[in-house]
Amino acid sequence: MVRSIMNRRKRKKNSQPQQHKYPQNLSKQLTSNVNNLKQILGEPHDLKIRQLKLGEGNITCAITYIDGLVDSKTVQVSILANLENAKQLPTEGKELFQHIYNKLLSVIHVEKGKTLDEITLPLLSGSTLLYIDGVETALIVDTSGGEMRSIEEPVTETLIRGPREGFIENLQTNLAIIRRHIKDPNLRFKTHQTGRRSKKNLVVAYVDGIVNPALVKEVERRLQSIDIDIVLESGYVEGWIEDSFLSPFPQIMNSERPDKVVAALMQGKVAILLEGTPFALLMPINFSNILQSAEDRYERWIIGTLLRGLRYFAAFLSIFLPALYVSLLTLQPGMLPSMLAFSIAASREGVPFPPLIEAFMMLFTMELLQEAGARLPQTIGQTIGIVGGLVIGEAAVQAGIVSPIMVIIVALTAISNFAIPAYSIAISFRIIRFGFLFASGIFGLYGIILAYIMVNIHFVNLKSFGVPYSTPFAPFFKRDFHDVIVRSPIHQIKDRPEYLQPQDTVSMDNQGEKK
Amino acid sequence: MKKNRNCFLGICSLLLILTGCWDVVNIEDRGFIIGNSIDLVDSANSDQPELLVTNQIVIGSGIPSAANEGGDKKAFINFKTTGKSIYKMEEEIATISNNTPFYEHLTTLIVSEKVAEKERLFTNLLDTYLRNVNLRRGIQVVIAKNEANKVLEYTTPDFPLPAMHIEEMLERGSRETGLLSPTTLGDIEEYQLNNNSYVLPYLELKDVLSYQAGAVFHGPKDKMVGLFNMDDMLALSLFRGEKTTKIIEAPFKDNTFTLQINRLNSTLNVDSSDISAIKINLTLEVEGIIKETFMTEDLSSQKVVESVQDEMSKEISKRIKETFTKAQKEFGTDVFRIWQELETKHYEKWQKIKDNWEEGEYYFKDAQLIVDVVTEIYSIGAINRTR
Repeated sequence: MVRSIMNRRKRKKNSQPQQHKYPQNLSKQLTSNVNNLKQILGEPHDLKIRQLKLGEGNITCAITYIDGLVDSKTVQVSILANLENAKQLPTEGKELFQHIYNKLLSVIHVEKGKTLDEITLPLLSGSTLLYIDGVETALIVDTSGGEMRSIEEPVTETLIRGPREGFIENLQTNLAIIRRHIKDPNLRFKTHQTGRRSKKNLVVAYVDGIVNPALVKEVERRLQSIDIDIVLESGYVEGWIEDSFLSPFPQIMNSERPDKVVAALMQGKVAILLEGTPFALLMPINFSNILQSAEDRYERWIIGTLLRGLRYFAAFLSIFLPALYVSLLTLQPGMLPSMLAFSIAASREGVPFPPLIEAFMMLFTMELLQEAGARLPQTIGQTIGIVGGLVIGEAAVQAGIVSPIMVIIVALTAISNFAIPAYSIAISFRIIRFGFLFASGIFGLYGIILAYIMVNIHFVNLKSFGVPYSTPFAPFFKRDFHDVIVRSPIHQIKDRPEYLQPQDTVSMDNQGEKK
Repeated sequence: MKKNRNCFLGICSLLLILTGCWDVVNIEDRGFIIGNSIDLVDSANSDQPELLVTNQIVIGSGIPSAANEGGDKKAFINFKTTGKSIYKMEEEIATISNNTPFYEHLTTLIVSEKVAEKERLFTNLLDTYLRNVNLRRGIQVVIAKNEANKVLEYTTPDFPLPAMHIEEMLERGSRETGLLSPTTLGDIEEYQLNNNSYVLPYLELKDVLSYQAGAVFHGPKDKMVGLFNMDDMLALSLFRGEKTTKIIEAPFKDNTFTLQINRLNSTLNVDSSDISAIKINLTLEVEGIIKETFMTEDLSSQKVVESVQDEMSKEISKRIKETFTKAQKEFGTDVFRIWQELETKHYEKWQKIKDNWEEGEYYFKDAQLIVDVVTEIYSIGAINRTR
């Protein structure tokens, strides 16, 4: 079997298409240059070319850009207007080129490009090209801009107290937001290009001096191994660089909250931001990180601690509640309080399905509702709530297909699942829940324990960028516990997490006292 | 080869599912047995008397609740079977009931007085209950006057399940009066293994179900020997120094007054130098509040209070002595657990007399009790006199 996989991989490698590369030099003829460009791009109608004659020498030059990618105001004011209003221009091509390069462009970033390859990528990223007849070099003027979404409150991670800004699809803006939070010269943004065809910018962000250099090295090594033609979303990157793709648990956290990313950077983690998506990736993470909300630190510590406890409890309910229900009703009814057992028995009288099937049906319906609600426009989404909550819940009980207790269990499970702050882990809980359900259907409480042991074995084996997923519980780091289940008062959290092995271990050098 | 292996694994996993699943009984298919009663039908054959066992099974839909009015439906059915072996009779239940009998919620076991009075029979019956792993050790055991199965038919409007009613009654009763704490199967086993005498709650069904007495069991004889009335129970509880609130009334100059005991400290000292006349010294320190008086004296005066305290002390010591004499002379049972004091503090002497304590030489019968009570009135209540 192994051999067949190897063979398939070999075949794939052979059939890999050749990348389009244009190491061709630019010619002196303006028209041939422009035609070459047109030919490469396939004469798209959003490629704008403006030809104009400059100075007494009437030297032809051409401005080309792609409509929508550039800030057209910059093109008009800082390039076109300057060229047209310029006086006493040199009459010779090369001199004119130097003159324009040195004096006439009121744009900060200007480069020279000599090959077609060098100029096409900037053009497609929003730069404007300036050709001059008789010169083999083109000017690449950075005019990128165009329409983008304004900064809004992140939809997936709303907080009651906390910054109201979220990342947007524009990478520069996202980086600027992070810079505004950390005005430390040690903040590093390392740019990579990903996707053979998409050539998207990807930024690895970390704070030099805090982060463990080995971690950055490992992240970059994994990033360099990415070999796909297009990287649409940070999920593509996550899927490529995560430790175990078979695990139900996410090993990289995603967030569209800048404050969350900044907090992680200051702990000594690494963030990856990708052009075109508001979701940044954070790594390495452990299980306790996922059950923490950014708000834990913003509210007072007592509230933060209690809410964290509540979330751990919600996680427990979300995974185990249906399984406990099934095992207590089928194999261990002796463990229920007597009166509760009698009333459940009475409420289940006439229900045609055994508890396992009943629970599975209801949970499955719940999953359907959740999926349907997530994909629908908001206006129709409300209908789903009514249909699901009232019709299916109430009517199913009235029709005698399920018992009222089951509806309570399903509702409680769903609510508990919504109380978990990260959507990615909430999904994995939903998956595991079904496993526990079937285990309990077969062996009752004993089955739950067996399934738990299996999950636990996987859990302690799992790593995120070399950091065990179950830290700081196992391996145990005593000092990290002031921010795991209990969120200690701010002035007591002196150390950065030990499991990250940061270079700068203390966040409070003078024990909270000013020098 | 590979196909075969996959097949094999598939079948194995099916087996896994099957072994687990054949134990599954849905909760609505279980017959929850909550109460058992045992009566004596025929005592002609003294070795193996015939018994009547009543099993009370819950009908869930008959229990009134917010969602379910209950209606005229009964909340339980009593299945009666007769036979010689308890376990066999329990098995028979499965053949007459449409549900699988389920014993893990069994709360009360009611044994008829007649069964309890037969030597060794009670212990033998409990053996079934203790041996069976499906039965809990927390089952409460009570003795009923006359027919025990009648007790399992007694319902009140707020308690539709007789067995649960009895359990609740015993718990609430012992909490309120401080007497007759419920005794579980596990406790009784412990007594029986140690060959001790003990007292079990004794129920009587007249117009209402009441429990006003304790059934005294003689350890070595292994049978019920008599009844303790409530005064005896109070004295027993005082003797043992059980720290629960108790009410005691005492006469005072032709009138009576009632004291609520809040604090109780009992110290037991046994002088075993002469084993044929063991001296038992009991010192009781009682602290309480006057709850009720029919007196006209001024309770704010120190003198009156002191004489009230003296009266109380006398009353308490009188009662304890009476009960002690009753237990000693009439029943010959050491329910006061003086043996415990002997075993822990006079171990060598106890080794000599332990087989002759409640039987044989009967050293317990010759023991002398000296009671010393100190009463302190902690508060006379909110008022001095009503008039």
